[in-house]
Amino acid sequence: MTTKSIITMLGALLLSPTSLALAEAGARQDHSQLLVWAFLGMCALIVIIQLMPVVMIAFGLIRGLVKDKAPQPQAQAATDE
Amino acid sequence: MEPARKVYLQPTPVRIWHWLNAFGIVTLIVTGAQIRFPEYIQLFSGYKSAILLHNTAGLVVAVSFSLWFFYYGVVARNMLKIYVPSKDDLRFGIGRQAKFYLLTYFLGWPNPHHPTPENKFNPMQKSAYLAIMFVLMPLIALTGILLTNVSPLRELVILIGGLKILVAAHFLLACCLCAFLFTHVYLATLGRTPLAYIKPMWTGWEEEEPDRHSHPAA
Repeated sequence: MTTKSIITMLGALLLSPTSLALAEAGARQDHSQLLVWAFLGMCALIVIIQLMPVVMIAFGLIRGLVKDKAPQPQAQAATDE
Repeated sequence: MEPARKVYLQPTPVRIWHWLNAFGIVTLIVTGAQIRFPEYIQLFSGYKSAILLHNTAGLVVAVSFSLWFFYYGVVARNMLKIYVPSKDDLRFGIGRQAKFYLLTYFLGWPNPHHPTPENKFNPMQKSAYLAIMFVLMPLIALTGILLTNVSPLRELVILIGGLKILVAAHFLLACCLCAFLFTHVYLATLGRTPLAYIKPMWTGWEEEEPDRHSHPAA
């Protein structure tokens, strides 16, 4: 009984680092992909933040154009009267 | 008191290129240090992840370099005017600018160079950027491309002198780039305020400094 328990304990001691090493290797693989995606995400963020003023100006211009065009029929009607 | 006049110095494509380049190069330096000295530097979880991130950052820097080249070469068409120092720059400008950085800045004198969209770099910047953008960056990218494709480009690697020479060249070029980076960041803080030159690189707009002729000591 004692021999069995000693063997079991030794076996557990010998095998536990192996399973930890396997888990670590798996985690490392996942981590490397995550780092790359985090890096690419930051790059995308830089591009988006820098493009935001351009998009806002373009949006303002379009809105201005639409606003300018909209009151024209009313002004025409006023001159007809 | 009149508000400071502002000049639009850095267009959007240049700003995007600059910050992608900055972020990419810092990542390349950190991951490169781990790849070169894995026994001393272990910032990332593993050697493999450092290599993967290094290759990705290299690709991003190469793409942003192409954006920079396309913008100045094809869209703005002022690459040579902006980056190549003139005769005057070489004869007087570099000395004047060096005197400012080494002495007159500490006496509170204004910067002798007044940037405009067509002449935004001072003579020292022009010389440094010319060497970096037209010599250092293409060489470091070329050695990096060869190192990531050793098998398909084996003959070219052997022609250059072998893998050891290629690795040494890539490392030395990276050291030069790293040295430039520290100098660049330090000099970027020498405006009227520490962020005076950094802010325009983010917003595009730079506040004009007072005319040096109005300074009694200038």
